[in-house]
Amino acid sequence: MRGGLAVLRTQIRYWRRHRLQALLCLLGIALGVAVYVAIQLATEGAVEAFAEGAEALAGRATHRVVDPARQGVPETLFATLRGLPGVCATAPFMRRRVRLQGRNLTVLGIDPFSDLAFRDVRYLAAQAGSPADGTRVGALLERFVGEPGAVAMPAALAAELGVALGQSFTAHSADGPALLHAVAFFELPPQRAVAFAATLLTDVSTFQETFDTLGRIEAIDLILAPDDGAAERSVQAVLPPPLRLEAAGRNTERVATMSRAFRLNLQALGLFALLVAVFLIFNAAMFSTVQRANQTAVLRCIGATRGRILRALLGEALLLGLVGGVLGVLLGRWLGGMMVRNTGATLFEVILNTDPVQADVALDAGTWAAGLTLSFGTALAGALWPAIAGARIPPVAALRVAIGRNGGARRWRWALAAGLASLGVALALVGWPGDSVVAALAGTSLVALSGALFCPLMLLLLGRTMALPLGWALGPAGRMAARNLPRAGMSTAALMVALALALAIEVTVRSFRSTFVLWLGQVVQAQLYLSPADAADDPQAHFTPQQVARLRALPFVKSLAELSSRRVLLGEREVLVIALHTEIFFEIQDLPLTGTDPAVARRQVEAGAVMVSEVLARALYLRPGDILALPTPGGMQRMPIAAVVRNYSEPSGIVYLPRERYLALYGNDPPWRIGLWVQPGIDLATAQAAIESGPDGAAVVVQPNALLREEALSVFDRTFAITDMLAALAAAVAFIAVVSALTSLLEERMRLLGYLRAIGMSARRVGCSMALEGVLMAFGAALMGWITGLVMSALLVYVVNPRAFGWSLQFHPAEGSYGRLLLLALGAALLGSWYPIRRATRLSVTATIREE
Amino acid sequence: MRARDRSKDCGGGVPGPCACRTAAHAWRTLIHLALPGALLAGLLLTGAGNRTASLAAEGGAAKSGAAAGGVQQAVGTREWAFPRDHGQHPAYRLEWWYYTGNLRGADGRRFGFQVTFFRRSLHRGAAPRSSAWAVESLYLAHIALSDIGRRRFFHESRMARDSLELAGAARDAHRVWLEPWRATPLADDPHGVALDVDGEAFGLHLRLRALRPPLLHGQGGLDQKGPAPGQASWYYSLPRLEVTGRLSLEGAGSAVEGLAWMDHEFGSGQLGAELAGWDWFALQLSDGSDLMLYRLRRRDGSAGPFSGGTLLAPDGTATRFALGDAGQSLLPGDWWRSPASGGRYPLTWQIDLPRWAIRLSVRPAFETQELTAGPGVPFPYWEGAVTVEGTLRGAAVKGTGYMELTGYAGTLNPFFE
Repeated sequence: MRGGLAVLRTQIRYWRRHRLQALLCLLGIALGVAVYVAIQLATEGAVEAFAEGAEALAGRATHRVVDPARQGVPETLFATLRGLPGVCATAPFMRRRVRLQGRNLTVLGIDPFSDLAFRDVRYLAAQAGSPADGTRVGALLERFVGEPGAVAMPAALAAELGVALGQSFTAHSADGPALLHAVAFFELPPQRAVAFAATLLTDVSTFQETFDTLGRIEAIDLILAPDDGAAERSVQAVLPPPLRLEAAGRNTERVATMSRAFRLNLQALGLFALLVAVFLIFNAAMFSTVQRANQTAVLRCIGATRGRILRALLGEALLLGLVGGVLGVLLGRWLGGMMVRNTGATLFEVILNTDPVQADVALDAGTWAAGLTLSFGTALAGALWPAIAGARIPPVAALRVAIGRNGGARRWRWALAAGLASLGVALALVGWPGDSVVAALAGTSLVALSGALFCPLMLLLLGRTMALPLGWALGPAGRMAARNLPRAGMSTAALMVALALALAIEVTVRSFRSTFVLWLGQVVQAQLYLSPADAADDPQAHFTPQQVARLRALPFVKSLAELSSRRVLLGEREVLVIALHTEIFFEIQDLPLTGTDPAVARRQVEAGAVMVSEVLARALYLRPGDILALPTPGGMQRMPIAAVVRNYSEPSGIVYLPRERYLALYGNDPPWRIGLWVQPGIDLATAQAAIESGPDGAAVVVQPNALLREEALSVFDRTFAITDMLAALAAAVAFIAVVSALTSLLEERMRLLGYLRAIGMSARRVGCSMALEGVLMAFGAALMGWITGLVMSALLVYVVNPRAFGWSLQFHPAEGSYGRLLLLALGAALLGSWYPIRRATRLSVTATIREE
Repeated sequence: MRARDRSKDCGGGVPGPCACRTAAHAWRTLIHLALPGALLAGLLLTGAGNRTASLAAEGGAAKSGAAAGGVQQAVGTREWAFPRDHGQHPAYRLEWWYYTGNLRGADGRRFGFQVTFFRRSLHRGAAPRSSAWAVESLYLAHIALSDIGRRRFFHESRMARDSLELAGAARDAHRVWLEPWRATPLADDPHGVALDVDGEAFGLHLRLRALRPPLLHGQGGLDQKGPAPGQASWYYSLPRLEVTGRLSLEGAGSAVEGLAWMDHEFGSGQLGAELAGWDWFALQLSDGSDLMLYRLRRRDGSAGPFSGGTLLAPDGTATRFALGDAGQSLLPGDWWRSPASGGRYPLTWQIDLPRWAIRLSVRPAFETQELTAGPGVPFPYWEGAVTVEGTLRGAAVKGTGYMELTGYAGTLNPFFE
């Protein structure tokens, strides 16, 4: 017991004297955990809220009857379907986008009775029966279904818009102004609030009257009995053409795949960040072990067993883990909130098409558990070896050694072996047959580990190489700096991993972005792009043939391309079939094909072949020359594949059909976008103004191609804003690594420095030597970081991304970032060495020498 | 980019598991139980869900028979005409058709059944509506089957608007339907009706022939429920209907026959706030007498004024009586606690009508005939087959019938208070 107390007392005394070191360790763990937690929270908050939202809107439907021609489903079909065997429930589904006081809102038209089986819209009553005003539920239901223009809306939305119960307001849709009034407010728990936050509910009757869709409903949701397709067949038997029965979930599936991949990548980044923390802790723990070798020896001499020493050192690590973990989780919550505001907002805007909603970023027990587990794991992983080493210190030998020993410098062979082994495993994981994203990510992180393990050797070589020139240039101070370099192995490794991580992400995102820009340039070739005014709000919006004819007849229009498409079920996958203007695709657009000669592809396409997008090709293992069986209203059509087309917009895949073929197979689907080329000599702005002031001006949105590209890129940039955060993390880690390395080195060599000062080396020289060490360390880390980062980014670009998203990217070396990262490392090194240098130069020479 | 727009479509689909799923599930369960009640409470409590009790004048302000905002009140006298009056009366806010009965299968198994249609008019002003979905009346239906031998109870509900022929009732014939569930007139019997309801667990295809003409309750069919004019409903019964048909239960079908009772009631009032619930009985006795009686129960458990009933003697004489008058009484006996809802119901009853020397005890065929709350059933209530035994003018009588007990499980009307 007394032995235990003695151990504890020396530990406390040690850490009280090394507060900075403790703080740096804590910061390292906290940062790593924080990034992981933030990513976890952000993806849960945004992605899950989004998924919940999509589910809440779609409800529990198993199927949906839709009209591919977007004319709507005749309402009489609703009653017909309800009577069919195997049809457990049906509900009409109608949706319009409206603007109200500058906000984009969704109006849902529902039948509250049949809807009960689908969506949780029963909250209508939650506030309807508000005791305060004594309003009766029955009466409210009556008003909801009975009053023209009646809507129910979320209480928060009403408060925000200043809408009072019973008050009329005008919302604007593509069909014109709609006079509505609120009869009920409702409140929802957070999961549902996200889905319905910007939603106005109306009865089907009100919806039809307000938006002039009498006789038709947008879609009919169904819950079919799980009876081997019998119910499906009975429904299909009563559907008049061109109506179609779709299994529900295809739409969200597309999105879910995308967000899963996104999330997995983000989580991997979070784990990389923790890897950095492991090195920081290892460094600190190893150093403290070495530094305390004498103390440990004394403790062993007075009776502390090896086990007790080991337990004590591990206990220290666990305590660090606990405090760092708590700090990290709290910090992560804050970071997560920021990320949701960026990434989450993008998800909402791009996918749900609503104003972003503040998704709930709440810490639950699971997050705490994950954060603390990671933090303990990190602390233990970093401290285990140093603790074992500490416990093994032979008392007598340790007492005899006056100056501390450095494990890092001597164990470079072990590190090299481990690094080679880790690299081997990494290569095996990445090269493992199959398309596992997880294996590829694990391989990528092992590459980072290998890079870290190569650091000691690299420093040794760097030190030896630099010793001569530095000694020649700066005398003993330079030689000392070079020779000391190998001792900073672990800190350099931490710095290196942080830099490699930043570089890998930078390169990947730049590759993605440059590929995307290139692709946009190839695809967005028309001079003006026209879309229906409600296209941003209504995914089914399209041009009428009359509009197209009027636009085509405009005097300044040189040529016009109509873009039509529809979704088709290809096996289990809902793909987009696009009608392709062959001549435009091959002559004007810059052929984003993968590895097929465009001329050959064009000949084949003109002879009846199709092209598929890369995502689809990868998912269905299709190659040029294969035969694709495509369902059409007239039956399955078997067509050869001419080429694989790059596309970054459609996660579920695209089949490109020549326009004439498309029209023959699927009929005349109205276009949802029109590309225009104007006559030579006509100014684009003039043309745009002419269309906007023409007869279709109110119904059409005109965008010059530059604007379209800009918008696409701004969405892209916002989506990847998270990478800025990771760059900031790398800088913070770099700083911590340098401070901790130099402080360690300083502590270790305190006595040596004392001797040097005593034999006449000036404080200035000592400082200079230390600064030089920092610079060399930063340089070494940057060198190793570049190599490791490039390997990691190559893996991310060529292996992880194609596997996760199905996109092949063109490698962009991100040339500007190397210098920037080196500067960052050097800056951090100089900044980080300031404090240790200050301490070193103010050492009392006599006290230092006399100390032992 | 457009393709990206397309993906904004919010189809169905279940995303991967997530931590919040449990919470969402709990919430869904809660809302599943509680809120449909709220949504439908108006429909049920202001009329449907009970057959006798809820017609206290709306807002206490009974209008003289004429329409008030398009709504007619039950006052004065009425020229009854059948089969016209078996149809709907849209000028009244509330209306219901109740079919209950006791059946015996060819194999001797005994069953009880309930088929109920509720209609509630909206009467929302005179604004002309152009949508075919515009609502005139909302319909709700409950069906239930009691498998007496095996003591099992099944019940289901549906609701719909009267748009697009989803639900409705004829104005001149004994025809009511709510989607596939329907009551259709018999060609050879002006009062008779065929009931065809197929639920998930059971189905009924029954022909009900009237053995007796309609029995008007109260004064010429005007059944007063409160002191003010208009606190009343038009109420008649077909007290003895001979049933033949088929019953299917869990895939197996069998021929059945038995006796049924039909109630048809319409008016425009609402439940009086002082009432906690009601207890209603329709009994068919072995001597040929039919007895309908109800007790409007106050919050202290006592019978409110306007509790009473009608006795139809074998010779066709109908007499209206009030509970409390001349020692007529209806008293609860043994109580049973529902494991499903936690409500305590008095399931045995003693009926004393000294005026006719009638003394009857009522027992449930079995206990668990409770319609538990769910979508379409806003509050739990007990409605089930009963047997009756006792004496009538000194002679032993037996019989079967149906009993309805409301307001015992939870608050009848939590959203109104």
